[in-house]
Amino acid sequence: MTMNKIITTQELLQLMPFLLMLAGPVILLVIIAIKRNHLFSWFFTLMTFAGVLVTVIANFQQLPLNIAMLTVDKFSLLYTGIFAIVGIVITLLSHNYLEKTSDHKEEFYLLLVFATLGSSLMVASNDFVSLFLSLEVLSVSLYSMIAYLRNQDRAIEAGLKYLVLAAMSSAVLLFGIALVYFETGALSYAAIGAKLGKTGFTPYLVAGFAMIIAGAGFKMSVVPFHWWTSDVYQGANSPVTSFIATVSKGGMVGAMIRMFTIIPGLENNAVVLVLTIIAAASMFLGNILALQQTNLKRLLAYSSIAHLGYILIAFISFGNGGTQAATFYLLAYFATTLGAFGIIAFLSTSEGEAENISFYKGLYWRKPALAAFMTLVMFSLAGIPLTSGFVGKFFVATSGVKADLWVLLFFLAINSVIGVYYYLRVVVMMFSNKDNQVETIVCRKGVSAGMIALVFVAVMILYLGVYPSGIMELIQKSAIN
Amino acid sequence: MEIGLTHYLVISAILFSLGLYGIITRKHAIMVLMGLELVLNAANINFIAFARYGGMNIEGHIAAIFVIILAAAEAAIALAIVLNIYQNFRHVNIDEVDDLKG
Repeated sequence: MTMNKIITTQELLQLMPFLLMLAGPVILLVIIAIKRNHLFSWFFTLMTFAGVLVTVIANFQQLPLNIAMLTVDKFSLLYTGIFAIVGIVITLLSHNYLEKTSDHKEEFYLLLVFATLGSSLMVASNDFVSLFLSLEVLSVSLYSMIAYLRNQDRAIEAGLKYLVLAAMSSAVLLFGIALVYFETGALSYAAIGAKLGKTGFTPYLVAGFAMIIAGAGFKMSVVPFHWWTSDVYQGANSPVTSFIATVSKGGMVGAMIRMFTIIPGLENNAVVLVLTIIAAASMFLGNILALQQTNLKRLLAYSSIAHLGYILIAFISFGNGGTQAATFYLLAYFATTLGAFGIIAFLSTSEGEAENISFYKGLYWRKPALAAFMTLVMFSLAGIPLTSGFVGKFFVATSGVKADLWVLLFFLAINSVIGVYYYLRVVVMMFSNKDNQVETIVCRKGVSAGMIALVFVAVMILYLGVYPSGIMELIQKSAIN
Repeated sequence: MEIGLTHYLVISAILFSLGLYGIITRKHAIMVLMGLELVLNAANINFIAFARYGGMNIEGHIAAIFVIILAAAEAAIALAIVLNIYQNFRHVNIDEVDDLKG
């Protein structure tokens, strides 16, 4: 490792997506200190994310760059681009929501961009130190985002719960990294991978990887590290919840894909067995617990546990197109989840969030367009054809078949059926009870930013469901080699 | 008796367990945060010990310095949240902060 190298302009340009996410919030911070203006902060954040997206596209064809414990290649740029798009959608949704609920709105956007930066850097990390650092950038931003509405007891409580458990899981992850470091004497993936090729797996290494998987499993909220999920989903405000469900989980999945591509951890049977048990348990427990929920946010929390179980199937069938399937499933799940939480954020008022399923009773007769959109989202979550959820499951199943994971695929089939039941229950609810008099208040009349976001998400769900090959080609092109 | 790697590992294991015990059993939010610090520092001791006796390189030290910085950042945010809990609930007993259920 030579440290005395001066950074070149070319390298600086390639790091631009990350630098923008770093510089944007810092500039905004100064501007907020001088003069507060919600609309300006909001617009500035949108421009930051748009700038990230533009630089990602501009750099996409460049050769991979290894610098300062980061790898800027097509894979990390793809994820960064996806996160930027998700960031734009969440920013669009947040404006109206914060206007309704919060008396100090501007700082939220700083945290949003910083957390997105953490997630993007996680995917770019090629070293355990940078992985841990970027994970913490994400986590620390998330603590304050979850507890952002500090007058609400629920938000503060969720923030505290997430803080204690996330810090705990980071410590476990760190302990695991220390064990791996002890055995291999290195912290960069490449060096560890090279050592592994020579020595094979020792008990310390297996223990180390088990702890790393535990720490990663917490962020992805898979069983048995899922206890925070439902409380935090419910307590945090909807734009934040959608961020936790998408960017935070996606960052960890991307980081794991890179880690296990360079370190052949999945050649060890114990690691595969652990992941298989986690995947199976997540699918079953997530779906079964979701069955009993009457709160839509908690329902989505448990369903996200199950969905991450599906992604793990693709992850276990690693080399057989599994990583690409996992990435596609993530993308499909992003679109769907953003839709679901987008609706909740859109319908929430200053009195509370639109989170009880009974709130959606007869929604079709009051707001037909919103009900139609919600139906699309629920169909996609259930994996019904012509939606992104179906295609995602199809790719996951294909990779599972190639890797001969028949037991897991059998579980996937059972769980899809369970899932259909409770997703369709929400749909049935919306079309029932024509005479319900509950008022639905949508704050702004006319076209609002949130509406643009919802339309975009709907188009993405249908696009991924009808014409997945375009995106799939892009994902295949960005595979790590 | 020569002080070796084992001693450091035992110390860090004890710290880790104590921290975990504190997080699980303590009701006072500040005490829970102290437990978290112990757990993080246990991992830190491991890094330093492994850098000295195992890897024989600087990377473990770098990791430890970053962890110290992050632990401080985390503590800052954590205390802010605890302050808000005090403002909203008028106590910091985390067993009684349990509105979210289901």
